Amino acid sequence: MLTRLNILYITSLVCAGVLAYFYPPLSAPPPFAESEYSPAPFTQTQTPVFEQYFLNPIDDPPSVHAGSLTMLPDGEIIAAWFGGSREGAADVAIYTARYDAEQQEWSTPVVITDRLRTSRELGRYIRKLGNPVIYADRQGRVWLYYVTVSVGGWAGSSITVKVSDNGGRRWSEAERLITSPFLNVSTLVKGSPIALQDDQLLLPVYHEMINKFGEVLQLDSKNRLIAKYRMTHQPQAIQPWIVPQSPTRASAFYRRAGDAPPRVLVNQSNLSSKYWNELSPSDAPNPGAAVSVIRDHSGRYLMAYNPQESNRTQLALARSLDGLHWEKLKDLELGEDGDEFSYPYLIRGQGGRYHLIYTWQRKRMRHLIFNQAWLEAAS
Amino acid sequence: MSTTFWVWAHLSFILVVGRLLFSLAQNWVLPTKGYAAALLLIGALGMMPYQDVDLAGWLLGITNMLSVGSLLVLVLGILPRLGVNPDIDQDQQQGSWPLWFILGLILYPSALGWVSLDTYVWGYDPLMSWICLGLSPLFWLLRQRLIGLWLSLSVLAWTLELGESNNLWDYLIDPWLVIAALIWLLRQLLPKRPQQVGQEGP
Repeated sequence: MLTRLNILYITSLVCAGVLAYFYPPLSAPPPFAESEYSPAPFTQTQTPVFEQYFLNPIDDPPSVHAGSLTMLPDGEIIAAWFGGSREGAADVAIYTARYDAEQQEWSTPVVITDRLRTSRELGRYIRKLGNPVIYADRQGRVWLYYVTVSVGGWAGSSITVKVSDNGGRRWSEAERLITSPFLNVSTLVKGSPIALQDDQLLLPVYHEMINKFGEVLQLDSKNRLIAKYRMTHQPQAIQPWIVPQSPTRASAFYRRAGDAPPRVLVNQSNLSSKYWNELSPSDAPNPGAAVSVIRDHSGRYLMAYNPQESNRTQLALARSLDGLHWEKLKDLELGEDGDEFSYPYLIRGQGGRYHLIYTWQRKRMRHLIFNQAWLEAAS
Repeated sequence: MSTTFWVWAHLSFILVVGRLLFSLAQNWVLPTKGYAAALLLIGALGMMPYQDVDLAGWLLGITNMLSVGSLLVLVLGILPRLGVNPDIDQDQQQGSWPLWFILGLILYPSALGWVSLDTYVWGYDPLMSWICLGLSPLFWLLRQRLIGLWLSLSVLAWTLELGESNNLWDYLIDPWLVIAALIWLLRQLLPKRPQQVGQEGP
């Protein structure tokens, strides 16, 4: 007998079947975009270049942290970081500023979003904001991924995203990425996204609740999360930083967590980040602090890190051929007890220059520009 | 927030608050129209501003997106008050609770990293939707109608991307549903209190 329930059931079953038939199939991550593993060669100059800047005035806001950088297709550099009265405070906002290479100065920082604006745009209560990662894709769209928390501490984080179609000057409304079935909590972002072919993106993230491990999100060209892959099977490594070496091969570098040895941890993937092997400790010390790694013009790894087993009072650059054995090239900061220089974020800019941003004493974001000649002179 | 998810969030608010309210005040018997008016009032309450968002958004910040499973359970609890017979009796619901609990065991320990296998990833694969659609008529024919309907409606909501997620798991179950399933199972396992019988006369 065709009751109302039978009609509802048959209708839903038929509609679901038809729509499921047209649903896009799950596909493995495509190879990395060529720009990721084979950066365009740049003109090397023999003249060392080293410049340094502060992005924000001291104490405005009182506390800043977690800077990131990206380069637009025209070579302009944009930075994003969070700042407020203290980390985790309700007044923390996401700031951005632009670097004018001709004038050699940073623009006045502006607030992209804050807790109240994000709450309104997401239509849900947001208690605090955290780590932002800014990224310009090959079409010139600028993506801002940042951490939001509704309930609890950082382990209750989820990732929110905004996009700008005009070089980071005007931003879309915020949207959430749903990355976990458990109330969508405990996914944080820190590392740089990686472009894939077909305009897809890999976003390295990490999980902090109960167990700590790295994951990578596969996002399509419309920023829909279409798959994710676990990067570590031991609960001791967070804040992955992925460095592609070929169309399908990549290494990842991690901040140690839990009982892991006080070393930068490393593992590799041979299938565009779908499967990752076991973690190995490198010989580079790590106090439980973020690292940032890129490849230099000759394919060697260049890492910005805290070269200590505890504390974040020093910041340095190191170089490696295999990612496991590191040679320290240059001390960037040599502080004393109580100082903090942390959360480096390293990118390649135009003209053979490297750009590094990091947290300086939790009070300012510091930006360094240097080139290969300066690195070689330093070593 | 998309319009469809706004509707989803506010419907969830009405169902959660309505179900709680009707359970707490079960001794107060209202006419059918009274219950309908109460639900409308709750819907209006959900749009009241609270802590920079509306009340429904505030609740959403705590509960996250409710699954189709949770919404169905809430609807089944409310429909009789509105004078609608849902045509799914208790016998046709019994099988769903153990199933939801088992699915919770498969999903959540993995999602929290207790095991290295990530079962949440299966929810991105359309293969899982085909398995659900294949099993749905079997459960329906076995008179486990709630499971049959839940599977087909979950896949339908997932394909239409009515919620925030692209993962089928988020449409099937949520932690609150699994907690409710655990409570149901514990109540089945605990010895039932003997019914009081009247004193027998001589």
